[in-house]
Amino acid sequence: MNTALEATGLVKRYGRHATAALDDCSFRLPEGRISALVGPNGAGKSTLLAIAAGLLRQTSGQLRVLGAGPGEARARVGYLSQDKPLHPQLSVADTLRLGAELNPDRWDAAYAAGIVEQGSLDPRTKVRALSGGQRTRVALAIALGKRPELMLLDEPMADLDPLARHELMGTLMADAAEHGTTVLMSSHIVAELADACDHLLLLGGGRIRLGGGIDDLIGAHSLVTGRGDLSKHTVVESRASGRGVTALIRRDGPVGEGWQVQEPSLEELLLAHLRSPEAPALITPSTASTADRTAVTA
Amino acid sequence: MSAPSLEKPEKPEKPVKQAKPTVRRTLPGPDGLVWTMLRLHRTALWVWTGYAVISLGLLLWLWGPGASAAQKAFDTFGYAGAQENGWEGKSFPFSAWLPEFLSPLGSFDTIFYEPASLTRLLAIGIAVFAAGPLIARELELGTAGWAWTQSVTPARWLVAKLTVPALLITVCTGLLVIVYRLVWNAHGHLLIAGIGPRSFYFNIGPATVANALFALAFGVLAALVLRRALPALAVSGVVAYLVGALRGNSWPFQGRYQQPEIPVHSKAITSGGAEIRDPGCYLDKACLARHDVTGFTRQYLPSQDYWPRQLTETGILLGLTALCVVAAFLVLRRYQPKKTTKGARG
Amino acid sequence: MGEQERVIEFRIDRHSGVSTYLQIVHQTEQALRLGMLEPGDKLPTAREVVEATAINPNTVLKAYRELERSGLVEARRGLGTFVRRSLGSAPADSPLKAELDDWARRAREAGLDRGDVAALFGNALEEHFGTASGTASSTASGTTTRKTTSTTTSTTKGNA
Repeated sequence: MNTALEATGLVKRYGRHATAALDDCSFRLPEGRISALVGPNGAGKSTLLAIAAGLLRQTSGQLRVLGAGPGEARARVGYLSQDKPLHPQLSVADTLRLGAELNPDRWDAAYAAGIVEQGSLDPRTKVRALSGGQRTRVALAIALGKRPELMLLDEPMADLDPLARHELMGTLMADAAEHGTTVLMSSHIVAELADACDHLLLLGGGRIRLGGGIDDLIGAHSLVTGRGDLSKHTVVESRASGRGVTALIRRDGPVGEGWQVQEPSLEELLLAHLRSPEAPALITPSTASTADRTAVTA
Repeated sequence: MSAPSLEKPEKPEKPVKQAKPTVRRTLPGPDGLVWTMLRLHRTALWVWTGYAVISLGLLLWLWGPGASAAQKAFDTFGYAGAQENGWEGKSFPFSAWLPEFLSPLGSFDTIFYEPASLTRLLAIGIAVFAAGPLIARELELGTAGWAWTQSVTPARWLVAKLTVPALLITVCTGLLVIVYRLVWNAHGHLLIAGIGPRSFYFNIGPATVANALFALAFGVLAALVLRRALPALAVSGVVAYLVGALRGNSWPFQGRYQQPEIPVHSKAITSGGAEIRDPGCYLDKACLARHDVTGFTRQYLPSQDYWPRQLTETGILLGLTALCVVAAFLVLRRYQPKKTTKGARG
Repeated sequence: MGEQERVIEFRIDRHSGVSTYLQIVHQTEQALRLGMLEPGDKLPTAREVVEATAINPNTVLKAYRELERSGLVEARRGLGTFVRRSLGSAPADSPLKAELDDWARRAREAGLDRGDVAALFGNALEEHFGTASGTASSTASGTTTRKTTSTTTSTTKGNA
């Protein structure tokens, strides 16, 4: 499978002595995935997305975007930043025209206009008069109108009401269904991600803590309750529960007798990893960067 | 290559991504970044067009139909009288339209007498625009970054930000200079109305255009360095003002030859046609009658050092402009990700 | 796609505890049982489903593949997914449906509430059809875990 995004030892430091926002971050995002990028505040999510979009320069390390350097494939990459900057003095129609003029080789005018129309927006409305949801819709229409192969979204739905959020996520998913667009979006809202995403990158301390298909990641973990020895498994988090413990473990072989085994939800999996920053990282083979994979086999 | 369930059988192997560019333009005219520039800075474009039309209009008026009216006023009050706002523009049609407190603006002096300050103001205006709305405001709003995540590289974006205004500035300022020179050649005495002909004369030439271009380049550089509209705007305004203050008068390279005046022959004409010394009557009609003055004449002799100085100044300003442009592109590279080396590719 | 009336709309309940793709499978089966979908009918495209529900397209495709595996639908390349056969013999207007309606009415007249009726019906179901399987309810968590485990193992092998 082709690679949409691949980071190798990516480091970003703001200022010489600051702690690194990204610290030796390595992963690979295969093409066609819809991936969530989650992590606590300050984990480096926005930094990673901005570097991939060609807006920030990494301190060291490498990032390949659609097989090119960041910024070299900008025509094929869509990016929606957290604050969705648009020119406030332009009308919606002029903003769409701007999208056409700035993406001369790829622009799909009918498609972009269609997305705006779904939100029943008057094209003559000035951008400054739009609500948060309408503004996001226009920004999304332009990002999708250039028909990106890779879509990067930084907290796309953060300030939207539930209805707008549902509609726009539907628009995004429809685009992915129709065009096979690879999507990487950061978010705080786990519920929103669980249904929309099939892939997960959990950032913590500037590195990938969990990376892989959501089904694979969930499948690799178990929520166990009971008593006994868990030492051959990786215990991500455990707490006392009556006389025994309840633990989220990364299985290594079958779980012994005497344990009640459950499949964790995505939320449980994420929360357990967020609460235990020292838990070892798990990156499934398809998500490990090429360099790391070679290192493992070597 | 993860779970087999993640393939998409309904989708063709390789999604067709070479989307044919659909028709995006319905009207002929500029497109791409040029359209973007003109649309985004439409207000500035209107202001600029207004400035150019009004100043060119006034100058053409003075060159043609207005020349005799102005001459009549001079003949009435003398150059000295005109200097002192003696006739407060009363013989000019447009002064009547202005409200009272603006009436000095309607006087002949203010409109035509100080083109030096007119072009200086112009440069300051350009610098402030370049630093503020053109660049720093876009950086503040994040729309610059937005443009860079479209199919436009930051370098191409900056090229458009520089060339479109530069072209308009060159054309309009160039026209202004040409028309000023037309008026100067035809009725130079009307433009000067008395003092500081050199300051005026030396302010009108190719260096005027170079000065405006420098203001643009410096404003852009200041905005890229400072990244905030307000400081960028203040710094570039002050610098443009300082450069303007140096022009025509006090460039360091002028050395001890600072501001030698242009040789001038200035006389009053009596009713008998004799050319006598200007008696300096100002508005005093009795005085004018006593000296039997019916008109005035003034003639400027060619200045030997105009072209050497004008060209040196132009060269210096264009050099500074080029430095600012190069610096601007270098600063812009700090905004961009590192280019991957050839070896790392593939 | 435009002229074809959409015959089924999926409702995704995020809090049901049933995985999203199974919800789609169940709702399609339910529509087939009730005769709301008949052989030859076209299922909505993945694009249409995800646009309305904001779920991952792969989830829809996974559900459709599951339905295809059980022989209920078939994917025709480039055309869409079509119903191949109906399910059960109880279309919405069958005599059995009428009898059940009648029975439910009588149960209500006899003073039974919704829970009582559901319990009665559930008992009858279990008696005649055996215990439900395949649904990811909490009672079947062991099954689910084992199933996912095997998937993961095969995946890892596939990648190595």
